[in-house]
Amino acid sequence: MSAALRSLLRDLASRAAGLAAWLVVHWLLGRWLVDWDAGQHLLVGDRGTTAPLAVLLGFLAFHLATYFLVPPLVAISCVQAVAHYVEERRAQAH
Amino acid sequence: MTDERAGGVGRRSTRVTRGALSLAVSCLVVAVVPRLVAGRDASAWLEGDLTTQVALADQVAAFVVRDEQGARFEGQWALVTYQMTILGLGQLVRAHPELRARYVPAMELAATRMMRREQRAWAARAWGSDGLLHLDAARGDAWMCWPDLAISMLRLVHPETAFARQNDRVTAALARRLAHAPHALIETYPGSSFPTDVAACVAAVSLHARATGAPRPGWLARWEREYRARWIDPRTGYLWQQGDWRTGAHRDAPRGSGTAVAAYFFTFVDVALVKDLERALARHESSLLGFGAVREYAEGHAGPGDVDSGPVVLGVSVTATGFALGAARAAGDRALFTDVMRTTHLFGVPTGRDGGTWFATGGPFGNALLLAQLTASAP
Repeated sequence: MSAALRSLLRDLASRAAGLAAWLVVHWLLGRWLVDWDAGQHLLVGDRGTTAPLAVLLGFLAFHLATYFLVPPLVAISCVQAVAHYVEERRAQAH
Repeated sequence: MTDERAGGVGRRSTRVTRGALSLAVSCLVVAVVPRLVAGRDASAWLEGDLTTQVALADQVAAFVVRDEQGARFEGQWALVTYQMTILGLGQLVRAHPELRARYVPAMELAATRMMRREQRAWAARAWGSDGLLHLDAARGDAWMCWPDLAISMLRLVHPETAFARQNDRVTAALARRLAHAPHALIETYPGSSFPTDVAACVAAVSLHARATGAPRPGWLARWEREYRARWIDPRTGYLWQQGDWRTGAHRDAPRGSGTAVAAYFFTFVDVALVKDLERALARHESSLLGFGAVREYAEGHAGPGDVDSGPVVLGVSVTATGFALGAARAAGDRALFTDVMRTTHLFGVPTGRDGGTWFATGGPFGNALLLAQLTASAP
């Protein structure tokens, strides 16, 4: 295995690890939200405090990023790593 | 010099290619990944996968058993939470009678909490007195249809319920009022009548008849003709949100929230009505990247969100979208169900809890409502 290929695999593995870490944090936050709430704060009739709404909106922002921001960023990063590898191979061939 | 220029052009061209490729890949990922991830449970819900259903039902039932904070959790929203809990668990028990022993105790407890006097204090304030104490009076009290529908469901799966007699009395009063309604409508509160609430009344009467083995009331066919002709807008297919029970005049606008809730209630009555209203909901779907939501106001009408619709964002409402799930499931509309389920997944955030499923952002109300919608079926 060439050094360039090893470097590419390392790059891809680090991005996969980053994605996995994000998903784990997301899962932990979801679990925390459910445990924190446990039927206490997100009652529709339980008004008079903005804290639950702030927590909810904060979590939703993080959650929506997980769906619409993180996957394309990871994909772009992987494309860049592959492109870099291809360029290196081309340069070596010349 | 020429070589340097050629090298510069080559590097620029490589950068442009790389940028274009990155953009194309990110667009492809945004178009494919979220819809795949958010839609992964849609088929299981649509096809009634028991494991999926029980995972949510157990958590909803557990909330009822655990909830001992009556003073904090009461009023209209609590009443609807308990109502949806009973309907959702009841639908599941009807589809899987072996679950009767598992869920009937929670349904009974939910009924006990739902029928506490404090839960209906808002309606008593509007009318000046508790409607349950005036069943022989000439007043509408169509709000009673919501809890009575749940009690009819409880009775259907648990005929020995302690609420049977109350169910008989309330249903008889509602049926008598509806049978004499000049325009298929009775008042919910003094001066306010909602075709959606009347849909709940007819559902309560129909389920009661099924539970007791009584024949389907004869006035229902006439009622349905009048209801269709007067309250379903022929241009948009949406239900008028309010009306005047005396004159039959329309009020407010044809709206998605009332249409979706009524479509769900008609799953206990008549499949043709469900399908007609569900088609209107599907026509008013807005979707992006496979995520669907239902518009609140019919074309030619506009307005803000209110207690019926929930927040209206970009023209779509929470209630119209959430209740469209039940209508779509009962009507067998896989496309609408899947699109809306993706949105529900995205904003509801189903999360594991004690070996079950709980929509993290839904709270008890949202989870009970979703259980009822995700287990709805054709009559």
